Amino acid sequence: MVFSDVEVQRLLSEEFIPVTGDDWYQRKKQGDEGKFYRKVVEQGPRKGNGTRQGHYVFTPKGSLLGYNNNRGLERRLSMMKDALEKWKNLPVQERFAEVAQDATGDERHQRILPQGGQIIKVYTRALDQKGDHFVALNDQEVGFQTAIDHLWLRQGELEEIESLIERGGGGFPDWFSLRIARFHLRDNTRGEPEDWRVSELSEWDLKVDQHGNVSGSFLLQKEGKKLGYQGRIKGELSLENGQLKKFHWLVLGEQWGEGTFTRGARPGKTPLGQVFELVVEPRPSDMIPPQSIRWEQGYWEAHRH
Amino acid sequence: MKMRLVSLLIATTVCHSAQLVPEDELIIKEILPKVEEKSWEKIPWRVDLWEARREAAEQGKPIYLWEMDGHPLGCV
Repeated sequence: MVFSDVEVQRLLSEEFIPVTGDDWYQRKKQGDEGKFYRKVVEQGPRKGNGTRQGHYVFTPKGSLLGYNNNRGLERRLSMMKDALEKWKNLPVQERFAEVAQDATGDERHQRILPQGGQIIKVYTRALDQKGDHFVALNDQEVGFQTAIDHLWLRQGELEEIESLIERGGGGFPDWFSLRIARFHLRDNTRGEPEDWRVSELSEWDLKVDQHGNVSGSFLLQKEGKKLGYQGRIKGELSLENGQLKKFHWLVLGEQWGEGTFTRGARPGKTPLGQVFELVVEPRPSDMIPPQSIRWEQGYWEAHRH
Repeated sequence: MKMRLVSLLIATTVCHSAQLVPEDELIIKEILPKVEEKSWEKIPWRVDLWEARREAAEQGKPIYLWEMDGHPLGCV
């Protein structure tokens, strides 16, 4: 929650150009951007082919001024202020640079929403039960914040769903069901979860009626049943001329176990809630690709791979 | 006993009606990010490193890069 600090917000907004990146793509990128990125991070403490995650401050020419991978506010602020001090002591000509309008790209390590596609925001939160109600965890618990991911749908796919509703509804096509089940029904509140395999979808039922009302249930579990998620889905969706006007779903269930990068799960089966919501006017942060689209073909063809 | 009660509550909550009802919207509100969880949105994050570099070069500012495995503004 460092970024909720007022001083951090002020510094980032006024003194820096703040930018974010997914290191899984960034460290593999070729082309101008990849070269520039590696020039910067190789001045830092993280070397080799592994992750370079952290917070970096650097000049437009690529000189590193500061690095930190600590979550504490004081140390982060200290790094930012030290880096700014170094910046201010640089000769003026070191603070500016000639930068080409466009970088040479690397399509293999970039994901762009296809033309006509739409974005669904997927919010996931670990819940607690208080009497007859579900509530958010208190802020001392691991994974108490809402996690965010994005579901992408392509234009032709949207048209297919619209036709399904116009014909009176029914079960969703496999590509849709499996994209949602395998890549979006999971607990990402404590880190990066694994994708589900098709064989791990033990139970599945998801349908829409002629009014766009959606209902369903699911059971996903790993072999040995040490990690799983079971729940129900309810919501609404509507389309017009192949474009979503509404996508508003609630997923409520119980999850159990933890993955390699999602340690710290509460013991036993615990409530998990998800909301799927249409993004109407995407901002830059809404354009972030789905976590699971790293293997692009696998994401679009979840029913085949 | 507690696990069985949670399962029962889930079944009751989500299956009571084919359409979302006010009780569902209360749960949805609980799941969505709270105001304090969205405070990072006050920062004008860019998502394109090259574009950020261009801006920084034009404006004479340093670049602050927040880099994570899994996008920082997303999944983790």
